[in-house]
Amino acid sequence: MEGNRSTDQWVSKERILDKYEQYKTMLFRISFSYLGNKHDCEDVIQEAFIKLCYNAPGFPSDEDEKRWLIRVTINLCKNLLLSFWNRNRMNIDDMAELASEPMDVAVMQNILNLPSKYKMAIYLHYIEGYKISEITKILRIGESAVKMRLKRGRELLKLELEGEYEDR
Amino acid sequence: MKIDKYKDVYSKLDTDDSMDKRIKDKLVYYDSVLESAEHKIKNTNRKTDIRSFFKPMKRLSFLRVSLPSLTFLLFMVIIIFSVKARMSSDTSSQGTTNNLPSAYNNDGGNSPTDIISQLTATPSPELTAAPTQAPTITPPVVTEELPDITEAPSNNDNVVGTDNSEVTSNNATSGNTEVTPGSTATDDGTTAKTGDFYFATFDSMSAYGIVNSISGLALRFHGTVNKINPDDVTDIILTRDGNQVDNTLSITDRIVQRAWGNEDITDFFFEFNKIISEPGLYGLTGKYKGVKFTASYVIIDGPLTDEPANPDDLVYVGYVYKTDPQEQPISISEVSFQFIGKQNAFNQSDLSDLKMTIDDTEVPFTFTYDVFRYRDYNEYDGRTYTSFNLLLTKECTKPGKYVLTGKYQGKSFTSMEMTIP
Repeated sequence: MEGNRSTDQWVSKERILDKYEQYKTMLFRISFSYLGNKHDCEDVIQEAFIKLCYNAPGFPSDEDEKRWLIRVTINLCKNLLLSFWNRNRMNIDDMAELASEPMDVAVMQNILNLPSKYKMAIYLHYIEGYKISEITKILRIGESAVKMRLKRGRELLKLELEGEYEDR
Repeated sequence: MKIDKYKDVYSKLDTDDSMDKRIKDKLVYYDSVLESAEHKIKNTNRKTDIRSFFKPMKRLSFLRVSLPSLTFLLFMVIIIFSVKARMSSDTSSQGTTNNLPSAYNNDGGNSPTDIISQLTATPSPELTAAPTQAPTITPPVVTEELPDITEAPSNNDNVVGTDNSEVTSNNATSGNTEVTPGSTATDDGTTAKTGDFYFATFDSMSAYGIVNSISGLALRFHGTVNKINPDDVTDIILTRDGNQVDNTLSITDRIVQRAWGNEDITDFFFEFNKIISEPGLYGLTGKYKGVKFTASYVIIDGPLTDEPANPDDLVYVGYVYKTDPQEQPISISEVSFQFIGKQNAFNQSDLSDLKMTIDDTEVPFTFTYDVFRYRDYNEYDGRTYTSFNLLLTKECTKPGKYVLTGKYQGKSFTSMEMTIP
């Protein structure tokens, strides 16, 4: 095979199904943050794994693969939102199905309304537990930009923390 | 809001079993479709690749390879038989006769896997060496000829359905069990009633962002609709490059009800009796309740090469932008380079002397790494076009008149003017 793939890294059908189980929840949460409805999330997740199966470069580690998947998913969500043929809004039925409490729905609406650059910094840091230095590699921005997005995102979401974020 | 609450909300977001099954089935089915179509996908000829990895096997290695393969085969058999069993019980409980031949009664063993349309092209970005300088020229007169497909053949061997029975879909989204009468506001500002036919579009599959097969048709209706009568869909004519292609259409169980833009819509999915994968320009006409419709054209290009787009074929540089509810531009997100005909690749390194101005004042900007390829057919001039879109790293929102100038492979271009009020 051309490119950087090696025998060990060729994605077989069995492995892609394993990787789906491994990453599906994360990709669903990322895509739902952007798209707000399950149907589009399903399309994006499927496309991301198809890209992983056929279009992914060689990965030195599983963490690199995970970061690649996150980036691809974010780009697919942005592309879908920008698409001339697809101008979706949040499907309140999907949200009600996923979170039964009205407060949860309200929180999710706030997250969806958050500018995309802030929501991903917040999600990657507080939900996925990435350090700031790691977020710079995923979002391809500088550390100061990550910190600013975390700060602004928290302000907009009115997130109350025990203390300042740490580069743990 | 406490951070714990934020985390708690996210913890409730997850896929469900039905979504997992559809996606997994799709990944497996997609792979088998590509192999059966014997597509030579760029950089990944799977048959060649598999052989290249097939090293001489020791007994132990053979066991390690064969056991997962057997497990996978068993998994596929279980999926196919469980789905067939489910479909048999659903069909027997309906008590109706499908007007169109049902995909699930097909003894050919078609999988009733959900088919998700995918028309967006998202190829890998390409980078090559910078081009040499060339004199500035204007775009040439277009000479490409295409078959005239504006008039469909009058012979129609694909009339579907002779019975008048009604088919009820079993896949309505939970919570949407009633058709709400009345009007719905549409995306284009007109008023349509729930259940009114909207448009038809091919249901296609793609790899590397390139459409490589068409599996069926999606008919979209305004509002939330639970069922349609397949008898109302008639006179289906499928064409490739203007010539009729023999194929029949069968309704499936799949419907999607969701929001689209500012309205609710419902898609009903139909399947062709065989997957279409031969390169060409595909069109389809039909009638719904006696009123003719035309599906959006789809182009199957076949494999692409590394050859960059011909600068002589560049005809237009424009923008992708967002609008407010009054359709006024509010931000520019992409720059689109449109070429006549089929173009294979576009390299950002072939761009030079780029300059963006707002009200004639130069402003800095950058593109992201990605290049998105689109194929379109223009019914008015009968030509196909290839667009390559570049994403602006930062969307432009400043009011003013935007113009982008530069050179593509040494040939100068000037974009259209784009004004953000």
